[in-house]
Amino acid sequence: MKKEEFELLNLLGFIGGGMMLISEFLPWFSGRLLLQIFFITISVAIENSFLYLFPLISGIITLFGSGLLLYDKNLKLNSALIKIVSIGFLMVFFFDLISNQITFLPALGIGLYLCIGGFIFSIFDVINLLIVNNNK
Amino acid sequence: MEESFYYALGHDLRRKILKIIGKNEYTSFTELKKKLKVSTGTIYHHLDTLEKLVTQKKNKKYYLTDLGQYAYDSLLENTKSFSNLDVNQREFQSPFLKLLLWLTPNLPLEIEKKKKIIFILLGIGLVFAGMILSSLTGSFTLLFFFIPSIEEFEGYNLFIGTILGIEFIINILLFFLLIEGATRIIYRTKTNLLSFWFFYIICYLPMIVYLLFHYLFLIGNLLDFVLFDFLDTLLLIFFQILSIWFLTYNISRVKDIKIESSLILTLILHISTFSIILFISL
Repeated sequence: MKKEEFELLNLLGFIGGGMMLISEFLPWFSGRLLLQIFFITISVAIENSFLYLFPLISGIITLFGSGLLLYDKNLKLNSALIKIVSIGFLMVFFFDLISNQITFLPALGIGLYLCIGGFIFSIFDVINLLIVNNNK
Repeated sequence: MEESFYYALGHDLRRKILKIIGKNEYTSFTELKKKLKVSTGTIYHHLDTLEKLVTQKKNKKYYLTDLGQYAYDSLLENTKSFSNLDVNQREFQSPFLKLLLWLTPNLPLEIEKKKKIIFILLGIGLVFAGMILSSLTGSFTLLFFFIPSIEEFEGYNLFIGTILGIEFIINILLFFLLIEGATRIIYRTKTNLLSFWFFYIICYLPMIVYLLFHYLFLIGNLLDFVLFDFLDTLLLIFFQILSIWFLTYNISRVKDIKIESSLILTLILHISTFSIILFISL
């Protein structure tokens, strides 16, 4: 793969991370922001409330992983590792969210779509990083 | 001849020239200039120095002589050794990895060198111990995860226990094949299956120790107490992390790949199995 193509694809990580981060501050269910849902849940069930911060956390981790590549291009594997951890967070969030919020699904907001988009971008970014890396 | 051999390898540009010619069998001057990005005079100077290792034929292309081919082979061999050295040094530099390596048993490596029969018996013993314990505790196994809810089934009996024990072995075999297949496809590494199998089985040692603790808590009815329930969860997390580390380290050591690459593999497996468990529990 050419260098330019790789750098263009590297943007996927930044876009994906950014989308996840922004989605935290956009409506998810019934016009409520995810951050609002977090503040509502924290007063009811503190142990479950932190789950609603996972897109924000995942976004920050993905952006950190992408930033690592700007610092040193030899850290591709480390960057991929960090992004896999972030994807793991988001997968837990999605599975738990589907079981908890299934009743709200008809009133979905833009936040959920943006987060799923960011999640997919992030997965493509990790695959790209792993394919480009030819060193054992 | 020896002097010119070592002198030729003593400069970065000359090593690059040897690598370019060795990789493509032959090369032209234009190609060299394009790849090295240095002046024409510099390339001519280094080609003159390499006269015993590189020869120009009638078609104006540069080829390796026998000595040049030997130099190229030794360069490739050394590059591989240097990269391995780098991995080992990095492992010992980090204090966190130092601690993990201290916790990692060198037993399989020692036994593998001396007596293979002990190695085989140890592997079989671990599989049976895991099978019996998962059967007694009523745990459904998926990689390093145990789903203990089955023990609460009213119809729990010896038959279900046996099924769970067999499931433990199937789980071990399935993940072994998955890892072996993935490393062969992604990293193109081929190793002795039997050797990797016993290094892989060792990864289940921490989880078997956890199952033993869990069984003791169960028969003592200690899990009804909040403190012991909390302790059980803490032990599960601790031994799970240890198992994942053993798996990562052993894949890296047996398959001769970077520790980061094997960590990616184990993390993907870990996250996938966790997602499957969450999906089942929906």
